[in-house]
Amino acid sequence: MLQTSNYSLVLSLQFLLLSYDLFVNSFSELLRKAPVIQLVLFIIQDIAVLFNIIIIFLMFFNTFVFQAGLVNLLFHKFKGTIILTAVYFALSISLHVWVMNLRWKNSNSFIWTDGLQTLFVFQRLESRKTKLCFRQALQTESRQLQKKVTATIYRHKPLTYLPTDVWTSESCGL
Amino acid sequence: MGKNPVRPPRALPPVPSQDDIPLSRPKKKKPRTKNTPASASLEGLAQTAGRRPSEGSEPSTKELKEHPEAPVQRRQKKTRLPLELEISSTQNKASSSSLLRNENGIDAEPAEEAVIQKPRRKTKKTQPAELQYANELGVEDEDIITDEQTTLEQQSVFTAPTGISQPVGKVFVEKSRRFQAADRSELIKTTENIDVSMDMKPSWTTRDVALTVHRAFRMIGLFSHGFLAGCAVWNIVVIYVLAGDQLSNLSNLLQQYKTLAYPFQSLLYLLLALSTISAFDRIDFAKMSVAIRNFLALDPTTLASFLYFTALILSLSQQMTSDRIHLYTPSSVNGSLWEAGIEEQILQPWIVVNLVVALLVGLSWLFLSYRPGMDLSEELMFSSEVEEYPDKDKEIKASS
Repeated sequence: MLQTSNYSLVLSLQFLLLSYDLFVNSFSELLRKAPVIQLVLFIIQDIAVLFNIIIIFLMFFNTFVFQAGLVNLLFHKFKGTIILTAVYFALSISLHVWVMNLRWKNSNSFIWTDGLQTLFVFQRLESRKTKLCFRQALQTESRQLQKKVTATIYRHKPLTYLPTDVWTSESCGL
Repeated sequence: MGKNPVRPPRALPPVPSQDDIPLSRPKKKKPRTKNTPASASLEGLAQTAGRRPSEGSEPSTKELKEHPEAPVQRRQKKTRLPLELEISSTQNKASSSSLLRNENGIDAEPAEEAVIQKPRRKTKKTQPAELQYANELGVEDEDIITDEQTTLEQQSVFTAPTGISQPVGKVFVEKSRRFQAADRSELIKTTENIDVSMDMKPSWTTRDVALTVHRAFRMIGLFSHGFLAGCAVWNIVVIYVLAGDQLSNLSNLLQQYKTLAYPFQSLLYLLLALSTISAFDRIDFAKMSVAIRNFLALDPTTLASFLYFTALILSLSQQMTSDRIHLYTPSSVNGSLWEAGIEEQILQPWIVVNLVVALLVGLSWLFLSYRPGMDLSEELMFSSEVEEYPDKDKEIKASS
């Protein structure tokens, strides 16, 4: 199980990564004096998104639900977050590649085309939703779901393999 | 729990669901009729163990007189005198077949379970549901083999070591990876309290952390709502002042505003993003139908989040124009993006969009500040647990 200190650490790490993401999304256009700066910012941003995905999966693996084998339940619940994050990641990379491609020679040129702008808008919107979902996922992640699912296991499986004593001791880990 | 390994496996904990009961009913009839194949096979097995079923009734009736500490069994006997012989024989069969299982693996298991579960179910039914958990700590009378003679006899037949189980006043509870003895009677009294205190142990739980973060973010969101509204209004005022009467002085606006355009666009995006997240936080997305109904009923919170979302889209769509303004050079310069007559054509919609964004943001700020404390998603995410443990919260408050 996730201990409280671990949870705080993971949560603050997630928030750090998300706020970096927000910062780059907001101000990367201002920092385009040299294309290298923007390139580094973009790379770090993509890595941050990747880290976010990894962290949220690690948190899944740490839940009691996952260890009980109810992966389906977890993925059903956090389907939105996972899909949105994946789509956001793909959109970010494509936008970054496109922008860097156009700006590499002359960083101050006017590069906007309709397609690029559409991609830009979608990427930013997607990032909004992604952040929203992440925040919700992180906060639901706590004990509530575990409680619910433990109740589900308790109800549906006849527990022939467990003596009743297990449930009164601390070893069930809730 | 320090019991004899020979004892029959403890029956399942009482399951609240309904589907359990119809399953157990047909099983109950089996040992009585003795016509079903399961009981027949059990009988055969019991006979191979060297015991006749007719003999079984005698020692158990004796044992009742000898051991007055078996009140449950006695009550059963009193209530169902005509069935006395059968029940006692099945109980002895259960013990013998469980002995047999030691040797033969799990041959007789399904039939045996039916036999063993029968008497227990009956005792449980007479008791109210609240006492069931406390009862699990109590001594199961069927678990204790008091018939010394039969066990000794069987020890001679089967080599498996069988001790004589007896009720101990202690219960061994696992605490911090170690079993500690606790008094049974006290444990029965305070079973529920112990469960609660075990849950309480980490007084600062992950749920509290999540709740704190959630509230902190709501504070940031509240700040960004107001700041964004102020910024947008200031922006539109600056634009109109610089543009002059009836947008007559657009080149002046471009020259003055070009350093400001891009930073402001970025700031607007940052604040809008924060505000949108914070506004959507206040709706509970889990109940989508409720959210839509609230929107149709012009609920201020839902309306505000919708307005923020619209403003975000509008503001993002002006990114290109902002960049164009940022790169403004007078049309006389070679390679300028701004040709002579094009200024008004580009700037007119940009100003209008900015005005609309300012209006939307201001409106939603008003809506949200109408009820700043309202947060439906917090209620949704954390309230179910609060309902689950009302006592726990009270105790925390009392202790602090």
